[in-house]
Amino acid sequence: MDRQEAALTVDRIERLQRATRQRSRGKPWDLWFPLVLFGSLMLITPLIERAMGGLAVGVFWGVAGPIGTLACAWRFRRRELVIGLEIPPAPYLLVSLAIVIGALALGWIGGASGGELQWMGPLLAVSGGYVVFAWIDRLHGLGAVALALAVLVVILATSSLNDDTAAAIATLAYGGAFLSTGLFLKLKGPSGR
Amino acid sequence: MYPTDAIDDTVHQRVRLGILAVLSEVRRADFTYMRDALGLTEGNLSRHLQVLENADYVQVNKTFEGRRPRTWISLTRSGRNAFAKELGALKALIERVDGPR
Repeated sequence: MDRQEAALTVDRIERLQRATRQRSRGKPWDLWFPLVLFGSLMLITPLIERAMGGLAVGVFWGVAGPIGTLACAWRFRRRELVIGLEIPPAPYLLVSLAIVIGALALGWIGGASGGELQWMGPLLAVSGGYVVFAWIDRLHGLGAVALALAVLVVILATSSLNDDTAAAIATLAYGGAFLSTGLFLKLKGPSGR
Repeated sequence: MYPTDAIDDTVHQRVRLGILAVLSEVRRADFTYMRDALGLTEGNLSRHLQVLENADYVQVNKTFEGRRPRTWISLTRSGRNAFAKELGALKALIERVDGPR
């Protein structure tokens, strides 16, 4: 085998790997479902907090978080069966689990100690998780949105706003950003997805 | 040792390299996807999969989804190692002629 043949072979292998990776991970618009789902749940969170208090929010997310994660996993699994490619689920499941556990734990610790951590912690856990998702799937736009939201949380926490107002604004910002991004991706994708 | 000494004849075949390249990126792929992605006939793909399965480089699982048969193919650990070794040998060959970058 000569150098040219080796180079052509390596090039072909890498093109096949790239194409497989893109096909298996899906297009950005395939993310519309988790973004719309969790964005919507975030938008109603301040209503629950106002009506029933912080503990109810914890219970709500303790149930909705895992169920929502399973719904997303089911949807992505269905896609895998349709296209005939399965990717290792472990990274995604681990990150999802880390978000749910991190958010609940930080919210609980914050609630016990008082202060901004009660509302900052869960939101920063979500941002952290989505930055990792963006890194795994090489979606720089998603990572940028997640980081921008984290910066907003810090700005609101250090502002003169009281905790309830800051928390509501931050949660609505997260929900609005996720929901609008998800709807944008859904509309941008091929019809029928 | 010359780089081509590390080349494995089982792996070093155009179709079989393509099969391993696809499988290296996923947990498993189904037969129909492999056939279409590599532009092969079913018979041709089956023959090459048999060679790789005999070498314990891939695992072929035939399942049913409802009444519909489905064949899934995955890379074994030794297959993954063999593919990585082949890719390394090819890149070493390129670098050896070009010189280290």
